[in-house]
Amino acid sequence: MNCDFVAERVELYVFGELDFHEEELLEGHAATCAHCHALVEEHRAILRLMNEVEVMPPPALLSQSRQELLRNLSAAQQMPASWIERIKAWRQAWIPAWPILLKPALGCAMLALSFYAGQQMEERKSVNAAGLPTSRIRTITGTGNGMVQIILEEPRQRMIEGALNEASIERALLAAVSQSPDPGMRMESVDLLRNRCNQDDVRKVMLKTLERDDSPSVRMRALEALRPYSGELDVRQALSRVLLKDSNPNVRVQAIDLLVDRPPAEIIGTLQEAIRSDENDYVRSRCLRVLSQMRASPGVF
Amino acid sequence: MDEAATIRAAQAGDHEAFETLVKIYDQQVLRLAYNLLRSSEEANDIYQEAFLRVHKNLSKFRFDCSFHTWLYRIVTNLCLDSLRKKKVRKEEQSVIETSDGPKDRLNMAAEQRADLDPERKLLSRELRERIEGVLAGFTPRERMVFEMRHYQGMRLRAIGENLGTTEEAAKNCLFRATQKMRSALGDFV
Repeated sequence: MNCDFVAERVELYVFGELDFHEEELLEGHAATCAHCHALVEEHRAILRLMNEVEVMPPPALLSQSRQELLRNLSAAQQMPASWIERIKAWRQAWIPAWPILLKPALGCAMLALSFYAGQQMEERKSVNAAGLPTSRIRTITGTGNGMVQIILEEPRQRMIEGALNEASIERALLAAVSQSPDPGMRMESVDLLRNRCNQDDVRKVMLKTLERDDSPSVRMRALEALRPYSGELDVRQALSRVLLKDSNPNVRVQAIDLLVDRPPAEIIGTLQEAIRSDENDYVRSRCLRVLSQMRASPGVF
Repeated sequence: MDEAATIRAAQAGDHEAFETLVKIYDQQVLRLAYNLLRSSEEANDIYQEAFLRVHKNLSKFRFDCSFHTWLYRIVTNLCLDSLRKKKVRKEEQSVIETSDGPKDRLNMAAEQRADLDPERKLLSRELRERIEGVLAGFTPRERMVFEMRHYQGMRLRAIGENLGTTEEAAKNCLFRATQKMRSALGDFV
């Protein structure tokens, strides 16, 4: 271990892209070497500078784009299909696709390959999620069929697989939402948990994420996950606080949308407060519009 | 309904399911396109083209990869094309539209943080020019990899998959981008 090792890897280290072992070595050396410590801090500072130029779309753009897409889709559906597309549709409907015949053979080949790969890669064991220890979570990926893959490091990487409703998988996802320093991983975990917000522990973490996560994108995803529960008291209270306190106008606008989905009278006070205090014109105009739809006054008398 | 069921319903022609699918991902798509292209009009063009392509080709989606990866392949290809065209035309500009009218995005970002501190404001102006230079100096591919890793928080493995390349190639792109940032901004830190 020397300074060259750090110099060659510092770029990947600051992005969290080194494996556990290399990260341990680098941190161990940087803790005792002033030069390498300064090098790491310099790279971190550069990334903080780059944060200065991150921009978010104007709040109105999303709804404009959605409306335009709906118009484009309905125009596309009214257009007659070309003769090539009609032939393709006819072929798909009537001729059984030839790859079906190859599927059994391909299946056997994949099985043989998996068996071979399984023998070669002893370190990446696929284990039952029930055996999940407290480990460092490296990546979380939804496989699209209700299953999840989680790569853990302890300190070697290994893979666990399990269904979303398994307690240990859920625990790992909740830990990732609350503790991961990587906003991408937090986002992915929030998405995977979105259909489980009826569970008390998931709901609690989701509400905390909505109000406290550093990343507006993660807060936005938590907000989307809570959409089906926007009529319930704890969610409504959190949304009201978000509308009045969140630093991001996109998040505040989405909070308004959810609050007015099923508007009870008590939201009027929150909207009036937002009109008085919000610095963003668009957020204030949305509040005003909603109050006028509810036939309520924009001011407090 | 979980995502796979929503996709299957949309493949079977359920419009509401397609709309649900759009709403799950469209904020991320718009944010990526907007931060890369810095223009509402161009970000909206990418949004429209991407989701129209998804709608047209959804029947061909076979769950070989996650829907997120499939969608992002379409979006990143469209964004890369736009970035390349911009580069050729040398039309990169930093003016964006806001609810208060057009503004220089870098001035805006600096002002938001420095308006109470004149010394910092002065520093921010110089810094702004440097960062502008860094972003303009990235190749479209470097810009895309940096955007996806730093601002979108995606892992290099997923970035490689989305861009149809290897994790190693994405890593090299990020490495080059970091070197460029360091040589331009090193004396600021």
